[in-house]
Amino acid sequence: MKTGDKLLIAVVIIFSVCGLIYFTLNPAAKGSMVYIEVNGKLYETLSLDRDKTVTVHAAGDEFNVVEVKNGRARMIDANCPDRVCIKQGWINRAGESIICLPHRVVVRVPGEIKGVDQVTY
Amino acid sequence: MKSKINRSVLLLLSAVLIMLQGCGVKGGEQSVTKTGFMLDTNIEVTAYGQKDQAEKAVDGVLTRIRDIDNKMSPELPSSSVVKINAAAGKDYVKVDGDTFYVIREGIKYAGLTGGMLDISVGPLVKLWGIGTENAHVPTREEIDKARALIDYKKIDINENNNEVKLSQPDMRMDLGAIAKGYAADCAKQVIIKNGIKSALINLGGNIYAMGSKADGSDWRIGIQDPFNSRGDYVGIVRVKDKSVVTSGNYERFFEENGKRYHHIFDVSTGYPSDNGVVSTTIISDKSIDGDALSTSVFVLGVDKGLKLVESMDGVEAVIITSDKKVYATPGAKSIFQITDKEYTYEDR
Repeated sequence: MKTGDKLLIAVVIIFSVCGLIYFTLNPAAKGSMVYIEVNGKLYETLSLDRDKTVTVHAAGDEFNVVEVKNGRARMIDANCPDRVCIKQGWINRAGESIICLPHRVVVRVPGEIKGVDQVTY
Repeated sequence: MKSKINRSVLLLLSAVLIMLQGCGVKGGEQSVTKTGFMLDTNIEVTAYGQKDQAEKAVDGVLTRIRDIDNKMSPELPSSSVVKINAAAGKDYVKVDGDTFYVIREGIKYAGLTGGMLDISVGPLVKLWGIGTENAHVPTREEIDKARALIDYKKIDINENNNEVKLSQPDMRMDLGAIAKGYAADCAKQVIIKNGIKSALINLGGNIYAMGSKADGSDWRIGIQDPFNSRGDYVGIVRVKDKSVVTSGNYERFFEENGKRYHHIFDVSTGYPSDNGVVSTTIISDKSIDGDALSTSVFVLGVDKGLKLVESMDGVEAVIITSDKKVYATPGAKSIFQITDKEYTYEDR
């Protein structure tokens, strides 16, 4: 075996192991941003790195309060009838979302959900 | 000989390398994604292909879904359903062809499920008011009164001129269990007409995975974990050109005195279905079938639900129960892989 062969094998092994480690240790990619959408349109973009609380004014007097804290986002208040959005908890991984159906508000971490093209729910 | 072995090792390693690093690579395809809020849910449509064509296809889909929403909404004044409900016990209403088709399919599924999926469920939906500020647990008396109005056999239809009548006053039609499925089927037709072969249609969690991925491989559709954040999944269904629809008890609900009441009703009791099933997923060619069956199986429960699905051609089901067991038709087991170790397959 030539030196070049050995070198190539070494490189291949290093890359494979790195890839393997990356894909096993990183089962869900953490996102860096959250999109707030109202009625299908982008309302505001927040960084997950910066703690912030935003009041989203949907239609009429409808509001939802989104909190970003310690790299995660959640809905902390809303005057929607069912308050299902508040019960959905924290999100921080690509593809995760919080949906307030009555107010048509979606808070989502953009990006592809790890391992799948879509999630049926 | 020694060098031959080394060569094989090298080839094998190269293959592993390509597979591992290839995961992150996307084909050179263009994709266009647009979102909207229709049919009382969030909608996301992605088409893959030549950019102008994909854009036209996606716009066409959103227009078509808006059209269906206008025809079948429980609230919009333009809706055929609203007109039918207003004329309950009085007159026949001439309806558009889309709504007429969906009503006939609804009646068909009511027959197949012995009335457990009934498009005349409206009085119960209105009484509980889930998703509105009136959401509350009704009295037994109110529930019985609403239940007495539910009977798909009392929906009179006139085949010759697309006329529909609810034969008793206060009856209410609700197409919520199948309209999204029909909309997905129509969306698919719009995409085909625009010459696009690969697309993902997501109508509030009802997925139509059209064609295959740009590289020819299967679409990978996760099934939502009923007990976790939206986007976390129990396992992955691999499909080409299929509808994948889920009904779950976690999407629309309210809580009263610490108890959770969700939006899928068991018409035989008048209460939200309570048989241990927390999520049902149907894989089928037509999304209207998937939509109708996901709700039907949810209400019918594991045994009767699986029996119904197994009696039909080309339809598969995955059922998740509150104890994190997964029940599936044999065909579903071959395309669905559990990835979350908390969940396990269970035989009937």
